[in-house]
Amino acid sequence: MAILSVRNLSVTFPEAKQPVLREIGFELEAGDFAVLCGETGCGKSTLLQMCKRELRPLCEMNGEICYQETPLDALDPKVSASEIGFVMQHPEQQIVTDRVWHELAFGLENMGMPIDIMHRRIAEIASYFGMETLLDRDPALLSGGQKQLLNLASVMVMQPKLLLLDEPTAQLDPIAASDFLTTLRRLNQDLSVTILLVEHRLEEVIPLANRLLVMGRGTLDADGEPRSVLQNLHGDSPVMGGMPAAVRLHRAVNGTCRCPLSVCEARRDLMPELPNRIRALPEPAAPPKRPYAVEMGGVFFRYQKQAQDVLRDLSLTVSEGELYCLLGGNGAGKSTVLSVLAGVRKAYAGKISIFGKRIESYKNRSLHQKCAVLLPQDVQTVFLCNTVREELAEVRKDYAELLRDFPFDLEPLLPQHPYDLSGGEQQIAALAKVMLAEPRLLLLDEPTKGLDAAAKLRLADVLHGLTAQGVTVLTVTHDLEFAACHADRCGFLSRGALISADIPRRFFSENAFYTTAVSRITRGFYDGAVTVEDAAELVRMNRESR
Amino acid sequence: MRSFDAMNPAAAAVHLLMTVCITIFCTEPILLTVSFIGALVFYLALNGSRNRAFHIGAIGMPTLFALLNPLWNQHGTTVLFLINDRAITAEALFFGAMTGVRLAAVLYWFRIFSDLMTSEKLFYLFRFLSPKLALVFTMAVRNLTLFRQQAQRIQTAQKGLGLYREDHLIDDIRGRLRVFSILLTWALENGIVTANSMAARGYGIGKRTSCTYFRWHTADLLFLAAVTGLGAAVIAGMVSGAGEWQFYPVCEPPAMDLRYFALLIPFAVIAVLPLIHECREKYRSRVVM
Repeated sequence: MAILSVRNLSVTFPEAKQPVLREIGFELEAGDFAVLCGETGCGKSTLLQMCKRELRPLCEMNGEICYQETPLDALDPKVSASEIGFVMQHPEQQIVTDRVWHELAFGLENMGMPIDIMHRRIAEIASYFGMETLLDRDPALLSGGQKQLLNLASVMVMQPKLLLLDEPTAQLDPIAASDFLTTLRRLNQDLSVTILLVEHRLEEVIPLANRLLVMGRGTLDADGEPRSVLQNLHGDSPVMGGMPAAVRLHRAVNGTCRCPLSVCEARRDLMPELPNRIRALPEPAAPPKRPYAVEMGGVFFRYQKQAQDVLRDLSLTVSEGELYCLLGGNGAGKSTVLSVLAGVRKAYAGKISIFGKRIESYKNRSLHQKCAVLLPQDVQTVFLCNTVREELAEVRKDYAELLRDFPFDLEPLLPQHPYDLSGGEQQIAALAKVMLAEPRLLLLDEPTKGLDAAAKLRLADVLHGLTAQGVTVLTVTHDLEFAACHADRCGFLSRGALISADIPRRFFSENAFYTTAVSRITRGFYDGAVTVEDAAELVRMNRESR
Repeated sequence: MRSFDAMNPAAAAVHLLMTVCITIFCTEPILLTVSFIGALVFYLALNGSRNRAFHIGAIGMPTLFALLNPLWNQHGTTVLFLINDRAITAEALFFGAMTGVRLAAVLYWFRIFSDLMTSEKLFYLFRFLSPKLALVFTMAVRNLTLFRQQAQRIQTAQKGLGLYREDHLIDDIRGRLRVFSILLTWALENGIVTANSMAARGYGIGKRTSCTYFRWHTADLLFLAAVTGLGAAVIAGMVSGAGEWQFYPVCEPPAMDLRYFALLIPFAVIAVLPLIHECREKYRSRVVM
């Protein structure tokens, strides 16, 4: 018996001309791990919400959605609430109460469950998720990853059979995202929970799934076992950019083997069939020597007098017009570097020069005027007005003039509320706002967080456009792929010091763990191939030279 | 027996409120002093020597009132000395000091109450009134924290952008107002997600229960019975007029009869009960270790 069946589903929002979903049909069997992907705005979140009665948006709906062959509307409210679980994107906002144990209890309280049984359920779930020590904490003090696991746990405590997840890892760093996905896999394997997961970061998700559903604009374009779906997927499909590197590489070199889904499969199946007489790409020409935009030498910083140093003996240089990506694990001090450079915090020792001038000698906000601005991680905090237009106009009345060369067409965004924009659009609108201060140094904190592949490309285009105009960009990121494809130089920060810095090709090929998937796939076959484009270019050169 | 902090919140709350009420409505100097010492020592037992500023303020209270009261109050017969032809009397001095002692005692008890009654315990107490109200309370507490965090984030972000001057008063106020207005928008946006998350987990589909880890142990019940019993005796004594001092014109304690001790002794027991609890707990844990 199918646990979820969607039949001939069409959905139209009030006052919309086009339906958001058109004649969608699929079935999930108990124990399926299904991944639903599609570009931003294709209606995948709407489809997911339609499957949860309590979250169904106001709309006109045709067709039928059944849970265990019962139409959703005919389900008992308790069954509907407890057996179909839903986890959303933002970790913080889903939490209701001010204690971890109480959050776990919340759903059970709603079911009117006796206290004894609640205690047992909470104890069980806390032990399964390894959060016993957190039970008495305030959720506001947990990390993003812990919060999201708490959200999952407080849904699982109701013992759902079907779990719907809407981009649950989008706001998490890679380690936390990995933990979350591992937990999902355990739930699926140990308890045979059926999972329907909407995601656009698919590198780690695809190998876990036994079903892949691909959506186009409001339609279900493909549905089946991941390998066969991927084999038949159009190369220029918008979802291709988010697929695992193994899949993209296989596609880029027209591999003849079956499509690999993971690094391991790619090394085993794909690499042996590629020629590698030419092992390395020609050395890129060294960039012309330019003056330093940022020069840090022996910088020390700590947040409190008694605390440990967050930056210890940090030395870092960024040239003018460079796109520099600063990488490193959690707590390595990456964001601290930015706030020190933006003058938000002060280092207690060391020398910092910005455009050749000591940071202390920038007085009265002159550091921010036409010099350095910091775009924070939570980009929503940049906005204070009701439309993007007001947002820009309040910085400079002549914003249109100043943004004439901005490498993105802002016109469609202007009349909208900044909070209504998609994540990628918010990032670009915020960039436009800070560019009005005419900075020469842009400091960005995790700009690719929560963006899909297409939005990342757009952002990269904007950043390249700005560096071409002479702006220096220093960005902190967890996104190795983004750094490998777009950075001029990468730096690796560990325990508050810069461990290594180089152009991406050398930087990533010298790392064995902290490197891109393509670098791990091609290791030993090619030297210095760190992106799909690098590897594809090498294969082309080899094939031509034959 | 467990420490006072681990006691059932309802029993603890009854004790603290009872003590505070008696302290507020009683004028008996010995009782007030007992209440003050009980609160002070208990507070020290809980916190050690931290919060010095609070101690200085609270203990300074009796001195302050003792000095101020005679300036306004000309009653009393025992003149100590004259300031600008105004008589400073011993009775007024004493009455002022007692008022200060009462205020200090109440301050300490309230401080103890707010330290011990975490939001979790208040949630448990609210449950007796209404489970819905209790939920609203815990959500309010959470949202206050979130609100503060987000306001802080926005301030920092705006600082990093350097678009607003902090050194310019009007600009600063304008900036803060705008942060507040966007915070409201943000809170509404957030509220929608939270409401969805609540609905998804079945909020509002029927009668709720509320989870709690607090139970009634025998010790809690005994404590509650003792406190209510002794408290009733004290209140009965107060209502019947026992222990009423006369301050003016001459300071005169009431007769030291049975009624008087029936008022003082039960209250003394109430005032030191938490302390006994705490000491026994500390002694026991030392034995275990």
